[in-house]
Amino acid sequence: MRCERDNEVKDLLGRGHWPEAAGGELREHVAACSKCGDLVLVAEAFRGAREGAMQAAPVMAPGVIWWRAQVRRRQAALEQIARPMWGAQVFAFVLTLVLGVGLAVVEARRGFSWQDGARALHLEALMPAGGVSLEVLVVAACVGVVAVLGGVVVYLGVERR
Amino acid sequence: MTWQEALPKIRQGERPLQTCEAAMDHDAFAEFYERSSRPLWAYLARVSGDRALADDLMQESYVRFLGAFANRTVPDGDVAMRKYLFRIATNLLKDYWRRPKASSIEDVSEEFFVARDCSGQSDSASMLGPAMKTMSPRERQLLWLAHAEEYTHKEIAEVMGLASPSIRIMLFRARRKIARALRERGCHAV
Repeated sequence: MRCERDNEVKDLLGRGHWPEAAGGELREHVAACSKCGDLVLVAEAFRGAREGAMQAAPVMAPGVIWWRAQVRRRQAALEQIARPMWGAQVFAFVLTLVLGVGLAVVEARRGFSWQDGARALHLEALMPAGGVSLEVLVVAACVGVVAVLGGVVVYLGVERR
Repeated sequence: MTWQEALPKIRQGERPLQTCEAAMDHDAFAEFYERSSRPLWAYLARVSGDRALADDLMQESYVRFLGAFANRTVPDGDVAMRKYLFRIATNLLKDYWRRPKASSIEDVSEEFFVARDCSGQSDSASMLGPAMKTMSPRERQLLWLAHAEEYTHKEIAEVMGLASPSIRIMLFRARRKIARALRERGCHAV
């Protein structure tokens, strides 16, 4: 739908001269033309709503936003720097896991004969004479390893957060 | 610069050299904020129909704007910067609406705006709230940018990320629809 005079109406609305600067003929046209009528009605409604909303706008200190932006930028920079370290940690973990699984597979094929090897070392000679068995020592060592690894995991988790 | 060199500087609050030159100075930001925050809030509040959401999205828009400024992706000039800011806000609104939990505008009270609009505003402005409820989010954005911010079709296309030729017809349909809604509520062109 085209109207020859809608640019004229738009121009007056844009400069804020409607309806004061509009002649009687143009007003009659707007009253009769649905396109121009819609334009004037909607433009005035939105302009009024904008003024009202701008009055209602909260006054926030720009410093707070500035500070938030700085914090976010710093956080992003730290994450960027930490990314290679995180990669190295993941690599080390995967490598350890692969080695562990490989060792387990090899030992399984040999029938878990590592206990014989350990006995050959006569580790019980290092233990107090109270009669602590080798199994207890192995369990204690495993618990120690789990505790240390747990601590490392917690530390990494906290650091990342 | 290695990370061992960069980390202590960042922790002390110093910016890396590359972003330092491009970053907006605090005073310049405060001035820009002063000029642009009210229109931006009005846009967000009126288009979303949610005052609290407008507060949040306005802050987020400025934070992202400053981040983009540091990365030198913001165009030069006050008008271009403002347009860029509105584009960020528009994208944030889109993201909000895409979320499944987003409340529709029908659920949101317009009383606040209606009360404000009635004080010294035209009838059509006070009726805009209920009429806006009948519009889709995209139509509300289009209409606000065209008639409240008075952006050209090309500028609206840039802000909304749409093709410029489609704006004209979309805007025409949206205007006709809201004009009908306003007339149904007894408003007429002066």
